[in-house]
Amino acid sequence: MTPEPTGTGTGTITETAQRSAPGTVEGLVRKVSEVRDEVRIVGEDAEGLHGTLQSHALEARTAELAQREAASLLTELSTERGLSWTLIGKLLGISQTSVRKWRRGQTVSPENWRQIAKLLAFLETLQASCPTICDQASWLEMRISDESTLTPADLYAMGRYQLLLDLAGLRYAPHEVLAALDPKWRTKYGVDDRFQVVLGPDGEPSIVIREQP
Amino acid sequence: MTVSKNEIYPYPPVEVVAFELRIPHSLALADRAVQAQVWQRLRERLPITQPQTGLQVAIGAPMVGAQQPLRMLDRARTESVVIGAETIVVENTSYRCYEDFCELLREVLSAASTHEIAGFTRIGLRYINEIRIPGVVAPSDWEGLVHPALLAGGGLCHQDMSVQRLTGEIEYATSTRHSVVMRYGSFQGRVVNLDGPLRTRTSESGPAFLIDLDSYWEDPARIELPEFSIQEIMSTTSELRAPIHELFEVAITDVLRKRFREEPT
Amino acid sequence: MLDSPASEDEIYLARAGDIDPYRPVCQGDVFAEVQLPGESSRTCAMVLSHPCAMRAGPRLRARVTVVPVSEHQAIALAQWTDGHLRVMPLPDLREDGRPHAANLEEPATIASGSLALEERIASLSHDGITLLQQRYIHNHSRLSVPLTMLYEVSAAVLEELELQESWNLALVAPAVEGGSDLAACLDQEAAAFDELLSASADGPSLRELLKTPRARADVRRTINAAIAERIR
Repeated sequence: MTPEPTGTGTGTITETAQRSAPGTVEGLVRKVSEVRDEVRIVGEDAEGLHGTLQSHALEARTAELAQREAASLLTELSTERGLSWTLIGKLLGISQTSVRKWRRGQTVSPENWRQIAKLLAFLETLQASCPTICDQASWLEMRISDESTLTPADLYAMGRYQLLLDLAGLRYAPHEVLAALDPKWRTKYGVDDRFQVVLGPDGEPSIVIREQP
Repeated sequence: MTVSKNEIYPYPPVEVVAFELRIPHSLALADRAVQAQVWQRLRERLPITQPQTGLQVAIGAPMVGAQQPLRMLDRARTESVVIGAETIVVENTSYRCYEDFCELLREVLSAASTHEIAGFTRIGLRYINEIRIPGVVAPSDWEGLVHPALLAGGGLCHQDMSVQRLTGEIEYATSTRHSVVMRYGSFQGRVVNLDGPLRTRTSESGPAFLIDLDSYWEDPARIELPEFSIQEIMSTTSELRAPIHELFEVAITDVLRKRFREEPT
Repeated sequence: MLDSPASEDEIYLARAGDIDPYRPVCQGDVFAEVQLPGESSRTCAMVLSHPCAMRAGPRLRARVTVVPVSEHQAIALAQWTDGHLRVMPLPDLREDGRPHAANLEEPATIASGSLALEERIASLSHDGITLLQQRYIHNHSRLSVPLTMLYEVSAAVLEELELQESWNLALVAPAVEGGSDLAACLDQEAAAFDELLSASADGPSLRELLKTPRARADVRRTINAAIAERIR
């Protein structure tokens, strides 16, 4: 019995010599498939390099801003940028109690000082690289998608800076960002479809049971 | 003209070199997640992946739920590794020298060895050479270029019949477990698939002379399954290479040797 | 069933020595020395009225709803979700570190004027307020409402309170330090703040704009600019 040849069935070697006409549909499909693979790999490499460079740039600007007084940085964040103190606390991962103490003059620890500088550096990066976002503070508070409760502020608090910049730069659609964050985002962060917020007869928002179709 | 035992031709006719390790069915390597883990270890060299369809399972029926093997390719698409439940195949269409090929083999076996593999049933090393020379078309045109024994069948021709294709297959046994199958002959077309996943050295598919040398280790009696040992496998593979080199050199003449040493015009 | 905070500290905005009079009275504030109806002695109580409903213009309504606060067994964070559903846990409420809880089953209405700012011993953060709302709603209706929804309906008024606190810090605190009467200053500036938020000469008022998440940052910048103008 003829022994089965080495490398049988991978598609590289045809066991019967055959003429392969150039320019066949199969050939073209292969060619285009190759091009797609190349593009994908180049894209992945570029994404990785971009993220690394952005991270370096963010760290460098953070170091520059950290030369300023913490109170000055906080004032810029709240007064000029329009971030609420509650939001600042959330973004920095600091309790509201601590933020309140800072507002009343208590000393900021070196690590928190650096985090405040980093937040401001991030907003500057957002402003410079994503001109479509007119108001960075507002953008942070807006939901990423109507189907999720997550806001860009939530992603910042999770440390997902690169993902945020890709979202802001429209490199990824909202659903892609959410999926990259957590494949189970609908379970963890999906909007509860039992309720909805509507304006009540007194002009104030109210929670009502959502009408089912 | 003498032939150096270790001569590396600058312009060899080798179209593909393939290594295959057949193993007892591995549930681990049948699992796509495990295949992905192996790929992660090879990712820097072989960043492209493709699910492999159509791989013929030679031994037994596929297990229910088993996934297709996974092919990994380098960016140039000249190196390929296929990992499956019963086989590990390494292919190269830009072969330079055996040492470079061994480096890839070791890397692949090392990556695969992180998952339990019971042993191996067959090791195969195959060199497929397609020799094309402008103007050399008919089988009789190969006289003086290849060993006469490879053209002997052409002598049976009746005067009113012309030989269009002359191919043959010889199986040699170098020991009870080592064999070499030599497929040879004058033909038209390709043995290495132009529409396959690997980029080939040339896209020509006209008249050629095939020297396909498939050297393999297999224990027909299946007395004992050798343990999976990278050292053992590499050592056996090196032993498989010797008859390939010897048979190739015997099959060609100095005219072809000279051609393989010089840059094609 | 219900949610729990990530940490005990997370539910508070301020306690004990961090309390000052510049934050307007809000849902979740805990006061000491409150006289509840039918009680022989004064006790601690937590304001339960919703921030939207407790004011008429710049001033507190005449009556507010409160619930009694007393010492309680310690409630671990893991137990918040499906245990002790009748109370709002208040761990480490006072400096003695003893755990307390607000009894959600005994609401009472009292005169808002009886809540003395100097007796305020704790304020809840936004997270704490929404947790309180969730527990109260569940206690009285067995309905569990997601925190995100509760925050969404309260966000505008909570933003307003935070801005008013900034206003008071900038404009009332220096006056009081300079000898002015605290209550009078707070009253006066509450009216000024309310006037600023209610003004609607060209389009929606700042208070209306606070209801839209997209516009809140702009409102904050406007208020901050108004404060800076006043200070100048």
